[in-house]
Amino acid sequence: MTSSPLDRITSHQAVMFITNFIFGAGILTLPRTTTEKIKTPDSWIAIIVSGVIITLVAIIILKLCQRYPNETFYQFNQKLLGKWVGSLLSLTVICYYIALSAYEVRTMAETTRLFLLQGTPTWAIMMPFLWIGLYLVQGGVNAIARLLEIIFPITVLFLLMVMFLGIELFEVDNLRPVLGSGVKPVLKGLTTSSLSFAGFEILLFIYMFMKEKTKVTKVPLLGVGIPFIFYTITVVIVVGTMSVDAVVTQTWPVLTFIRSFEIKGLLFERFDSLILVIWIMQIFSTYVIALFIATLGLNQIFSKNSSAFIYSLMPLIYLVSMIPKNINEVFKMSDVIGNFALYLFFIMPMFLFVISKVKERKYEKM
Amino acid sequence: MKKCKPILRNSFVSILLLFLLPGCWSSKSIEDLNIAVGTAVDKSKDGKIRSTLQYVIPNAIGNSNNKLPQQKPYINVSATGNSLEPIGWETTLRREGFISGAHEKAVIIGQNLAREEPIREITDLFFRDIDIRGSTLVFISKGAAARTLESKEPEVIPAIRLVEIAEQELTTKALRHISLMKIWGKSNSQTSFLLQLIDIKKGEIELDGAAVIKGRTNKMIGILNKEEIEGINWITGEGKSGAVKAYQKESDKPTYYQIQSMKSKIKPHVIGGRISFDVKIESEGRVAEYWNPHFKPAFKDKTIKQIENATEKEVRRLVVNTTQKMQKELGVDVGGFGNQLRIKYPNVWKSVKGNWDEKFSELPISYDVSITIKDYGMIGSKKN
Repeated sequence: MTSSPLDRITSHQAVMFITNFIFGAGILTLPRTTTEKIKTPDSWIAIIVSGVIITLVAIIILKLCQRYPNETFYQFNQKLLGKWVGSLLSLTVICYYIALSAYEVRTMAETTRLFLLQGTPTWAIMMPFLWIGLYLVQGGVNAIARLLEIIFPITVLFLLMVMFLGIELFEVDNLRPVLGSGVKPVLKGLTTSSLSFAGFEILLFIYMFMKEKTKVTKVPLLGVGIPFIFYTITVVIVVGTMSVDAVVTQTWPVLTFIRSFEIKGLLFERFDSLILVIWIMQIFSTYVIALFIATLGLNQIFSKNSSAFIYSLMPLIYLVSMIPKNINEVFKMSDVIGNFALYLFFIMPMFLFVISKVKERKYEKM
Repeated sequence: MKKCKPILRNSFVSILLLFLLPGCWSSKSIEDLNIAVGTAVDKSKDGKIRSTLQYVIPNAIGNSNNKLPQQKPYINVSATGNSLEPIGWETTLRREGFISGAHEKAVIIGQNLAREEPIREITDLFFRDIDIRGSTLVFISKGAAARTLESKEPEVIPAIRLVEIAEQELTTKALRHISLMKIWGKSNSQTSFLLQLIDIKKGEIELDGAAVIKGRTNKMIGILNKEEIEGINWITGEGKSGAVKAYQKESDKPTYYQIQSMKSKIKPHVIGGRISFDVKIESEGRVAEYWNPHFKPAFKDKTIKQIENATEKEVRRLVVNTTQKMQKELGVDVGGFGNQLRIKYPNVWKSVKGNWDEKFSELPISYDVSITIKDYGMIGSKKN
């Protein structure tokens, strides 16, 4: 089952975990969400700066985990904060992951309903998605890791290819002037651009499963670094093609961008359906990982290895995902979840890190 | 739990699989679709909007061997209403099938309507619709837009032909094609821009001039003719090919310079709060036609220099002429000057962008044209 100590993943698979978890539905709206706050073409600078900050936080998380090599966050937080506070924190985190997986499922359904299966009811789109996820999570961390290894190259290569096919429409002038209004707008946009990296905290939960435990700083570096590069490319190309004034008005800027060119003479002329179909895999991986961590948490808090948890999570996720009534509420849900994640996983790991240091000193004195 | 018999289990699975057989949940067969490739939007006589949709008839394409009288490969359906959405539904009362916008290629707006309603509102439906793509091109028609969707030639779908002509952009007398997505950015930043103007000549379409859309109102305010478009293309450096007159005196007889590449750089200057522009235009090309009544051999460098000078003079005349029209007559900036100012002097731009078009009308612009003739084809000289 999920928390079996025999289930081990390599560092390469750990990188896949971080990268695939960060990638998700967010990239489809990324150029808009970052540019909205900044209002200048400098959103790509904000992405770079926040990428560097997030990498540092991810390394702190790694250092924290290395103090408790055979325990997940759910277990070691009880040692640091006491049983009750720790369990409460764990439950909050579990709620967050349930909400996150619900959000991913909903966004997938929204985009699919809009662009691919216009007449299909939402529940019919969600059901197979939910059930396949359930099946995969029951296979444990190793099964997920192997799936991620398959998904990652396909999705990323296609995204990159499609982005560069539209290069003909790219106008450098849309990205200039660089820092024309100074550094201030970039700082303003840092929170939203950091939001896009939500998911870096996954190391708190999967470190326990890693085969190698030392000299693995490259794991958070690569895991955050890959999305960081792809985010920068996406924002640069989409904003450069559409201009700031157009990007902020688009509901799904990346899809608008892909729909604004046709390549004649290549196997396909249009790439929007293709990229959406492929990106659904990426949304699926985020959903599966979130579901896995939530189940893992329930198992570990209640010290039970029962599949009852995961089966009861299914209807819960479905219900949560149906809460937003329209697309605006979906976007609001994304904001709430993202903000929550940022405060939770930005501040908490540092806090825990300090506590663990203090406790260590105490023991040394004794 | 007792184990199911394999035969029972297998037949159960097979029955479940039966449900997959009908195929895609929301599939629509292509025969039932009205595939719209073009839309013409006009002002109707009673002040409402009249929209004409051009549907492709797939059966009629490529059936030229038939002895039967040729059926046109398209059909135009039109209706009148307050805006485009109710008109679309109106047409479904008259013709069977869903309207599919996934292959929409061109939107043509009548001049009368474009002068009264903002382009952004007229085309709102096209931007918003999920099927219609951002690569759809937008045109303004001199006369009734609905007429541009007709052709006398068999086997021609007028909307597709129009887009093909516009996209090849062979000559500097045509505007660089501009798609919905690019218009969206310009409309939202209140930048003035140009749209290709089309006209009907002897029953067939022709690209003829450009419609000037003013940034603030987003409505059409004037027309640039073909020569003025040439000026615009030289200012923006966006032309690909074309010809320029390369003689000054009538006695010299026609000589023409063929453009092989063109480049331009607009440089803004702000000195003590005063804005001015320098435009550097460079082009390389060849002598394409040289009647040469004076038998000056092209083998001589001096002759080439003369032709280059004459071309430079002509290009300068073209750009100055267009600038005059932009600044004095229309009072808009459609040459991308404001954009360069925004990039080089973002702070100055912030203070002038509110009334940039008015401000632009008074700014000094200087041009520096340099033409290089690389070769002159197969004839170097003529004998008397």
